Amino acid sequence: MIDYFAIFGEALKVVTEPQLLLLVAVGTLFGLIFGALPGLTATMGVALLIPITYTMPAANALGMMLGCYIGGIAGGAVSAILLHIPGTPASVCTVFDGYPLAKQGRGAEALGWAAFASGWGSVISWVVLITLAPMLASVCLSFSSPEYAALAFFGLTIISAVSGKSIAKGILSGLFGIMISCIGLDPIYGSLRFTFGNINLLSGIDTLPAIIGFFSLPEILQGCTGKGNPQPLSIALRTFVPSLRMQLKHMVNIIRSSIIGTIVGIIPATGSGIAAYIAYDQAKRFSKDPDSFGTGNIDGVIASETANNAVCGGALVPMLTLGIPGDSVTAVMMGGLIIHGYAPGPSLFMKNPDIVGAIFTCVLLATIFMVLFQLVGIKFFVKILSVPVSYLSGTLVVLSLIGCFALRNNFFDVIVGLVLGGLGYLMVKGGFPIAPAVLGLILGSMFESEVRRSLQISQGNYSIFFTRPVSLAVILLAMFVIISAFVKNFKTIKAKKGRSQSGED
Amino acid sequence: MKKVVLYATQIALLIAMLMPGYGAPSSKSTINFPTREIKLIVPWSPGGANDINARFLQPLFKEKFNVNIVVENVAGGSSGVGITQALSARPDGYTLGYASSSYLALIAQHMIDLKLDRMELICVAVEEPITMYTKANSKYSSLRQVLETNKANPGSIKFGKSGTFTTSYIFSSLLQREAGTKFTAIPFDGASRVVTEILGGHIDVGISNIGDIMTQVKEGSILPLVVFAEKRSPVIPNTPTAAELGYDVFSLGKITQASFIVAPKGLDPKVKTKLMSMFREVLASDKYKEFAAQRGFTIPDLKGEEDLNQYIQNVNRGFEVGAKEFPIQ
Amino acid sequence: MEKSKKIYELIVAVFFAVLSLFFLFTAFNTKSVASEGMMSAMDFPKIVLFGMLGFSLYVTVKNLMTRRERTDDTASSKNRSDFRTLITSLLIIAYVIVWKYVSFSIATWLYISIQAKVIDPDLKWTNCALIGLGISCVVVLVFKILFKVSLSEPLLISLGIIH
Repeated sequence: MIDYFAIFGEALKVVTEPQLLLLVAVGTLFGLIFGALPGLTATMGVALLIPITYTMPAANALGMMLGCYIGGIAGGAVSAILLHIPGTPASVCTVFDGYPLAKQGRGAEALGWAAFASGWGSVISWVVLITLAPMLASVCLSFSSPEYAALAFFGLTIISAVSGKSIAKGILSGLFGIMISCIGLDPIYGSLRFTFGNINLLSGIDTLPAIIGFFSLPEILQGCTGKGNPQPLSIALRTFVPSLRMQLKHMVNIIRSSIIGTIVGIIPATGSGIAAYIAYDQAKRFSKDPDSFGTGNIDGVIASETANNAVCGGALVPMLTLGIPGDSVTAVMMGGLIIHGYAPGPSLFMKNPDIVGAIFTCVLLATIFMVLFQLVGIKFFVKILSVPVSYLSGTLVVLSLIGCFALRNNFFDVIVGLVLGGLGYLMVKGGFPIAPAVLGLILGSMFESEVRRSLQISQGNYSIFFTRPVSLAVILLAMFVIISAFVKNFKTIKAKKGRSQSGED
Repeated sequence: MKKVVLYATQIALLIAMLMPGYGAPSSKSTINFPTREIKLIVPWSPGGANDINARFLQPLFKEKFNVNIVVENVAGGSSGVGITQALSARPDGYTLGYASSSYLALIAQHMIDLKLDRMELICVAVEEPITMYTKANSKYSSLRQVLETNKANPGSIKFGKSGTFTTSYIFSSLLQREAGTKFTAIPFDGASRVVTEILGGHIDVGISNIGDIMTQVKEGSILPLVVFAEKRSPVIPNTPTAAELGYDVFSLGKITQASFIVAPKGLDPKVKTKLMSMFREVLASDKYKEFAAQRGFTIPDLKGEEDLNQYIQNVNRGFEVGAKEFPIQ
Repeated sequence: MEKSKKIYELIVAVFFAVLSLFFLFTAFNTKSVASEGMMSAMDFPKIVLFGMLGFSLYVTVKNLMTRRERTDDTASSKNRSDFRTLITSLLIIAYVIVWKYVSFSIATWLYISIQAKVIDPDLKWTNCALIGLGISCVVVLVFKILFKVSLSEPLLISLGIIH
């Protein structure tokens, strides 16, 4: 059992130590910058901190890394909302509604909400972490290939929710994403697929350059056609700090998205991108006004940002209780812990309550710093929108292409971004939705490899997906989503036909 | 006669001075290396075991020589992209690559045009013993039990591995051939997934580097069954080697999971000697040894260049034969 | 449906159809074996590709069947913006080539300056160049010097300006 007294004692020590407070703050700021710049991810930020923090006491090093983690995930919202460039896969869904809001001149408001939503997500998952961590360890272990396959399947059904008006075009776009994810070494047999002798294709198309290309270039190409007129900005504090009443109004969404994010975080090897997609989909489904999603509904931003930051607390659960990383960032952090001589795992609670206490406290501290920094920063961030289009377009191209490059320092990724960006432009012009392609790209390889792995385990017996309770439950949920989407699509087509004969698009 | 001796010694001296690295004692002070930061290309994304091991060199180099090592992650192509980039850099000693057995396996598969003779070896930094393990307090407490169970009911043992054509793959294939039985193999994307599946009881045995299960071994939740190495590992001294159990897993040659530092071909021999001595000093330091013990890897004791080349060629040859004898489907 | 949108839709749908056909061709010509009863390496991609082909053909046929509507595009402004997009695309491609083979910093400076002039021809060249220089300096400072991203500089290296 957790010795709360020892941990609490350590927590008090942490809060009263100015040096550590400062380091957490610096780490958070560093993370925010990393997250906001396209192509620089929280994982990279934490990896960069390892040699820097090597000489520090373990608690300080951890504090800085946790700050970077939480800041890094939250920072992605800035470029997503203001520039239509998702800095990390986690903030893809923030783009859908955040950017339209910014276009309507409500960028500051969206950013304010993003900051608070990230904060809430982080805090709620933190509460789960400190109270339920040991009990939730069994949740991570109950997940095996059939469950992952079911989860990926469920994720793919969201294509219907992000398809916009034409479901056929949405599915086509989604299939294209899955097709891209098939490129590279086969996950089971290791044979080459569609690599055409190119070594860069061996490990497949990386998600981030594809996402950056898909989202940013079409937007820039569309925006570069005229001088444009920067909107007058109102950046009084009142306009971007959501009032307590407003926060209460969206509390259901916040709690739902936090729970989704935390659960996805607890399941190892998933990640904040999937969490945000699921939360976004659910928010849309439960909304009274689902059609406004994608055109600037603040609930979309809230769901996405809450969920992706809730993953942080969730991902720490398997790391602390089992010694298994919850996502790529926690993997780096575990490396950092090991360098400092600590073995993350259940006995950490017994042997090193000081470290556990420091982790618990630093997560909360980093969250507070993250919200504060963002609120202070918003005033400066939104100035970006007043930069004339003539200079902004070029700069955005440069930033996006560096973003493609920086993740793997591989020039091939720039070409990937460029090609998919060009295709994305044509797709946008032709009314094809981009979001399903990205979803397919993120989930396609997971779906395929887990299905095939499950079949290896069951030796070719498909019943494995339906005889395991978790897997069956997720599949049923997915079926429900598909059927309801078709029913709805059918109804809208019918309604449309009734209204006019102008045809659908 | 006197003159001849004089000339001969003069010529000998001249030759000696021209010979790299051996000449007059002053030659050591003439190479001024390194004068700036050294770039170390890690061919994987940040956060993997190799990345963390490479990053650990940074503070040690700073401390010992006041040299900055900048780690650059060039991921892609199962480490092929990054190492190719490192090897095509200017051979001035300021760009190095952190290669591993995965790169040697890639060469051996001949799927992509890569060659062994394009690199200069600086040192072998890490040798990770491979181990096969199961969940502690499960049905199986020894490798024999696992193999017997599978023999009695072929394919009943579900066996998780990470990746496809790897060191673990060769060892497990050899073991299965020696024992005359075949597990149901399930490849996962990474070792941490294998560990999770084992802990969750979804698969029976797993195989990976010792470093990947160190935490769980210390916690007592995972039981290592066998070590695929010539000697027992100091971190799991109670686990027998394959040879002790009567299985020869080195019949293809001495294959190991190693990480080594490479430089592009054509490096100035003086610079190479300097680099080698710097790395040797760092690898021999107490801090690095302590780190190795924590991570569960060993540092092979290689004397000179000969040893180094021999070591890497052995691994590569093992993979070459392995690729022929155990083709992945 | 808008005329231009219809054309773009057709282009993308046909492109997807051709792409999936090409990949299908590759898939069927790649040796892929599997232990009995299991999915082989190319099975899943084949399913996806057939799906893609089907849907792209569906979209194509539907596109061709819908009657083209007369839209009175104000041709001149439309053409002009399309022209700008084309120029921008070419500029970006040129930028990437110069970045790779000549120098990142110089390419960035030139690109931002020229791009600004393309979008707003009323700008003065000197202004474009100066502001472009400023922006690219900040970019180089942040990414290259601060975060050590190794953006290629073959020209500057061969001139011996940097290492």
